[in-house]
Amino acid sequence: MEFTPKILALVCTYCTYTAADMAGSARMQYPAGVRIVKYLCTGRIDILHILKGFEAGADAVMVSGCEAGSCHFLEGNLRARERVEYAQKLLEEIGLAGRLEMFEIAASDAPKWVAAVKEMTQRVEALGPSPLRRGQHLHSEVVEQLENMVQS
Amino acid sequence: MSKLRETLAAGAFAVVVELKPPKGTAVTEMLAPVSALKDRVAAFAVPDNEHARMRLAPVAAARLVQDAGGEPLVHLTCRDRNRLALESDLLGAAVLGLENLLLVSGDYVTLGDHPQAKPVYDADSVQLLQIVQGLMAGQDSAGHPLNGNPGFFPGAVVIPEADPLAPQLLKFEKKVTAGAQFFVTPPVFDLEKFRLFREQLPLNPVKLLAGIKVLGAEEAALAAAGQWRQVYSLPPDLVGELAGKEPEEVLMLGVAAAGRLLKQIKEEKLADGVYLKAKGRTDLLMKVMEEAGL
Amino acid sequence: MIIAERKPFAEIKAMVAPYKKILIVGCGTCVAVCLAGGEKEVGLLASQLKLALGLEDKRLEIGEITVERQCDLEFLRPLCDFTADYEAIVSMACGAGVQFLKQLCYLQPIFPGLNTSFIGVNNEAGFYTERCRACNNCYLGVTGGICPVTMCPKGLLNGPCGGTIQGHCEVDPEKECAWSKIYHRLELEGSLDKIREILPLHPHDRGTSPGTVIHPAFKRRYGAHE
Repeated sequence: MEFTPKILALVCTYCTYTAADMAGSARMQYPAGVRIVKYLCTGRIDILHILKGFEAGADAVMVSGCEAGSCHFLEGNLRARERVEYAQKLLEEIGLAGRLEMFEIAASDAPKWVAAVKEMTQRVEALGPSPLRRGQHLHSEVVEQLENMVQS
Repeated sequence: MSKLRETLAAGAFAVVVELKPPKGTAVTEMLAPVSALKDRVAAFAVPDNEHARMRLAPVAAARLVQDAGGEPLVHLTCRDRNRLALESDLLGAAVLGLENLLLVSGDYVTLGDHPQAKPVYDADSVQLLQIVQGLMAGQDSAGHPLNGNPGFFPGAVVIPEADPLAPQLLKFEKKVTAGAQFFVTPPVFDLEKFRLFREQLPLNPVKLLAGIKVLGAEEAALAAAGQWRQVYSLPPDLVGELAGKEPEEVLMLGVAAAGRLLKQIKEEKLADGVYLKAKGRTDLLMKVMEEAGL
Repeated sequence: MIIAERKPFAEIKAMVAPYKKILIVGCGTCVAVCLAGGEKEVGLLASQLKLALGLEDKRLEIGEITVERQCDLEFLRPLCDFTADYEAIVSMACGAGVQFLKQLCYLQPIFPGLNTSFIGVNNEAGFYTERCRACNNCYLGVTGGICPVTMCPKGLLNGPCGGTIQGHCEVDPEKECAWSKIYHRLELEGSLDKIREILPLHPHDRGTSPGTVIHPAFKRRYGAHE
């Protein structure tokens, strides 16, 4: 059955978002099913945000920040990595493994952003849609809840 | 009067042989050494759930040893009984005519075959020695008078290769204060270390029985693999000698080593006697004693 | 403080299986510090449950609330009306809090979300070790500040036992022998005499469960408690 992978990307402003923006300006082609949530720094990402992403029906969640050592806020990306690893464990515990990944993408590295999105898309196509998905869209109330959590 | 007490008091070299109580009711194998050796040894030791592995109760086993003509040495650990049960079992031992006691803390529960059992340790070995002193003087640990006092010959353990040694020596003194009249050591393999240890012991009239053990194939393999974790060490030459050999050959070499050590300890009067462990096997025990000229 | 760990997810999921609407109540004191049952952990558990049940095509309505602590009535009382709306409660407090919450809100079944482990200390976030067994007869003044009841697995009052191997415990090679440490401490302090005396048998009746402590002022004002 055909489906469009719906991927939630939690990215930082300074590096990955810039790269994604550039990819857009340069009209680089990549799968369209990515919904970006913009954080000032991936260090702000709470494990709960990731789980909410799956509650919203995301087929996969990507967390992407600066390369190790280049975080604008010094350690944010390091904390993000630890939280992503813990979240992976929690997801494994409930049977939703393999759909969460962390990437490190520098501001100038638009091609790497494209490659990351393609990789996650392929992974989701292999795994199939999230069993929690209902329909084609991410559940808007949950995404709104997530965005509120990010702002606060 | 206990034969063990008499032997030690007379200054004669006392040999104590350890038996292996069964995990069950089949006692023939346990008792085999008794008929063979009863006239050559001062006592037959009966361990108490050794290594925290459930075995036939030592007081019951000791009674069978008596019936077979041997004198028992009953181990009692602190691990499995509270003070009521300890006192009760001690009285039980006394009325059966059992005098020789070896009072020990006991290996921890998780090391044995019932790892989920509740560890008791209501008394430690020093307090247990005091309880024995108290019973002999006519009262239980709560201060109530007894109707008939038991008599015992209590002993305890001391670890020559304890690391650190100072706390062990402090505990040794406490055990003596609490009434221990003889001490048993874990197996001795290095006589130089043993001599050094003897020099550290404060002078007192307690008697010392050196542990002697026949090593088996499993132990040899552990030592060869660098996984030896005990309170006594094995000399590297011996480990090398035993490495890679067939089980029966390991036992034979083990017997030879044990015999040599026993002989030397006796000749140099390094101890007042020995506590012999050879897997409770009559053939091995007899060979060791032969090698040592006993 | 009390250290606890969240129960395995599968166990909690099985506990709430019969229900359609549950409340998860967190505790903001000890279990929040040891990252087991605080507000954050309540949120994560609720999310995990929703996801896990979603995978089985089931829906579970989950309310989440965290109070300062569940062992104090003043923080539990406001919950009473609130809890009435739910079919069952999962309490993320230690065993004491779970029982107190149930006592107050007795209409619904209550389930513990944690296994309470011990009284211990916070070495670092995520690393907690036991220090006290609440024996109600503290020996710390005699043993150089190291608890023989807790730190020695055998709880010996006249240690060490014959199982010390290179200064470590026969039970766990990673753990130092408590009595070796006690000896060393007292040696440094110059007060080894404290353990040359034989410590007497421990009075276990001081620790009979369930224990009760009544402050003298309470007794004077209210007489014997009911």
